[in-house]
Amino acid sequence: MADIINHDVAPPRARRLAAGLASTGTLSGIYFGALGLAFIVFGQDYRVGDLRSMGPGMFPIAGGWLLFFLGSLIVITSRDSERVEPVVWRPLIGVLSAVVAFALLVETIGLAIAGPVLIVGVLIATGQGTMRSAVILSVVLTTVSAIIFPTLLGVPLKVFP
Amino acid sequence: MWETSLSGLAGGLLVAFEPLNILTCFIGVILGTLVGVLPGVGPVVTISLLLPITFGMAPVTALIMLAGIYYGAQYGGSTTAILLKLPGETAAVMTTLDGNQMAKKGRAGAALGIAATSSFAAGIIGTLAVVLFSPALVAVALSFGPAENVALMVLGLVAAVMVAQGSPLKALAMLVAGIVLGTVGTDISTGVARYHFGITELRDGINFVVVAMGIYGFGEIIANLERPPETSKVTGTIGSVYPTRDDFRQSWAATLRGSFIGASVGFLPGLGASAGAFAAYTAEKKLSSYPEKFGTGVVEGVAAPEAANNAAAQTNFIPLLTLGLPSGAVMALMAGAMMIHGIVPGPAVMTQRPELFWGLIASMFVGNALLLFLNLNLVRVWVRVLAIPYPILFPTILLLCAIGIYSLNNSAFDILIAAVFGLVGYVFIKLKLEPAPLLMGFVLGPMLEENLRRAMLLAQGDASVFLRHPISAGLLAVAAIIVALSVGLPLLAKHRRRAALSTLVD
Repeated sequence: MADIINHDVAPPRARRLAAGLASTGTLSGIYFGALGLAFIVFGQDYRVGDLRSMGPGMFPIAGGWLLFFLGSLIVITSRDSERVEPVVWRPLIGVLSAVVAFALLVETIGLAIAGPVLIVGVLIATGQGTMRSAVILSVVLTTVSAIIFPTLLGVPLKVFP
Repeated sequence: MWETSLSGLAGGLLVAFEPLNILTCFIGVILGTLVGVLPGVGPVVTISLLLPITFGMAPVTALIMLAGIYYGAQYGGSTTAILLKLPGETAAVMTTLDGNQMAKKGRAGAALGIAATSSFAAGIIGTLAVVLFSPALVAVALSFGPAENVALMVLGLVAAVMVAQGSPLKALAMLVAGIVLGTVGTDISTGVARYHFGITELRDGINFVVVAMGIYGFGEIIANLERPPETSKVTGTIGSVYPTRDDFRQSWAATLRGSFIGASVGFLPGLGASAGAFAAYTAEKKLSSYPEKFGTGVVEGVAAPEAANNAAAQTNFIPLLTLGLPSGAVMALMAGAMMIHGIVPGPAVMTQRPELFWGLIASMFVGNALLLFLNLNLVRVWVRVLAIPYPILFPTILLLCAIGIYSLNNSAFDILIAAVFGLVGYVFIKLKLEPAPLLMGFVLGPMLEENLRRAMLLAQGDASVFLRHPISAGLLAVAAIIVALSVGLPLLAKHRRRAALSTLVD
């Protein structure tokens, strides 16, 4: 239904624009341009100096401008609108939050909790593991890494709270 | 020059044959084969993972192991390519064509055997090329001042951009993005902390291993999880891995040609093992008296690309070891590994640390011999590795990645940074951006800034110094030609196509 309405109402020009915005070329151009701008804006406080004695700001700000220029060029020249493949949220959110949770837990509580949290999180992200495999994998992997890293390799990794 | 090579190699062999170094070489090539076999895990992640473990080792021992992972992965990639028609490594894509057809005809063992023997021959030829050409390049590079270094880095980076997949403009932007990201942290010359946003950890800069792990480890795994799991079904029975006399007679010339093509391609900054394999396969098909049979399971179609990717994997080390120029993501990591061990990659390595330089090169002979043995005898083990299901594989890799990142600096903050770069890497995959130029820019950026600053200081701020020094002017001219060709040619081709189309319509 929504599809039909869209086709009927949206003028062709607007539709083309929308398709162009979602293309890999335009989006990467915007991405580069924004990153360049960020380095220019946040680098304003650093002394630029001159070529004879380059200040800390010259290199990153010049790089920022170059990146901004390249990003704009990419947006302008990307005529072929190759659509971005849709994002599948489950693995993205699942893996990233599992990793972030691990980072927050490993120094405060220790590997004994952080390890299983990461493993269960990743299994949820894959959408394939069963309860049984999650338990077995958590126990085995956490135990093995608790033996290898702090004991054998001397990494000062907290295991228990 | 030859004397330098010979005496250097002799000294290097002594280092490579130390029991500890043989052992680490063995561990390196085994792990390399393993990651080569597993689709979805590349040498970049594995080298990053093992880097913290090498901190306690002598630099030469560490580099021997890390190098073994890289060329070991080229061997391992062929196993999946032949048995599953899945390239375990991108460089093995060409091997899937004829290798898997051979397997379907019940000759999987012969294909694996040919892949192993031609990889071995090529590994030896490639390493010999490193031995012969490195001293000459070092002699040239030693006379370089800061201006020449800047020009050389610009050329190397530009070459990397030219050969990256996809649009050269995007690759150039990725490179610059890497360079500016490399400025985060305290500036060496002025002591000013840049772009730290008040976060103490950022004052020390972002560790390149964290970037590599985030983009290649987390990012790739997330993207892998989006696709439905591939059903690992080994094609047919494997049979004897020892190729017949006929196979050898049919393929030895292809192996030699593939080795030479791969060795020359790998030597050029920016071109990697995949480009070598592609060139060798194409050349072999053109030269053959039965090109129509390629793709149906001819032995040459396995021998040539396998020889080329392995020869290229060896000569890839030449630009890094002699000029200090990494030619891709893996070599950028090797450069970073050298710096962690207090060695600045460049011509000084050979003159000041000959035992390290020649020891690493000599270890490649040892490593290739070990790989030949491993691949002929342990194929069945590698096949079993393939059967590990994703729900076990991915949590294991991610846990190892997270702990590995933590152990770099005993910093949980680094894991958070890696998660950010994991998101960045995922965005790159969605936007079809090749991450290798970013990593190269990230590693080379600080060196480029430092050399630029020194060159400008010496020339009193006169930028024309780059054009007045003949070597630097020459290098920059080559870089300019490369940019013009890589940006101009596709545009020209598009116009031609459009013109041809319009004449057709008329």
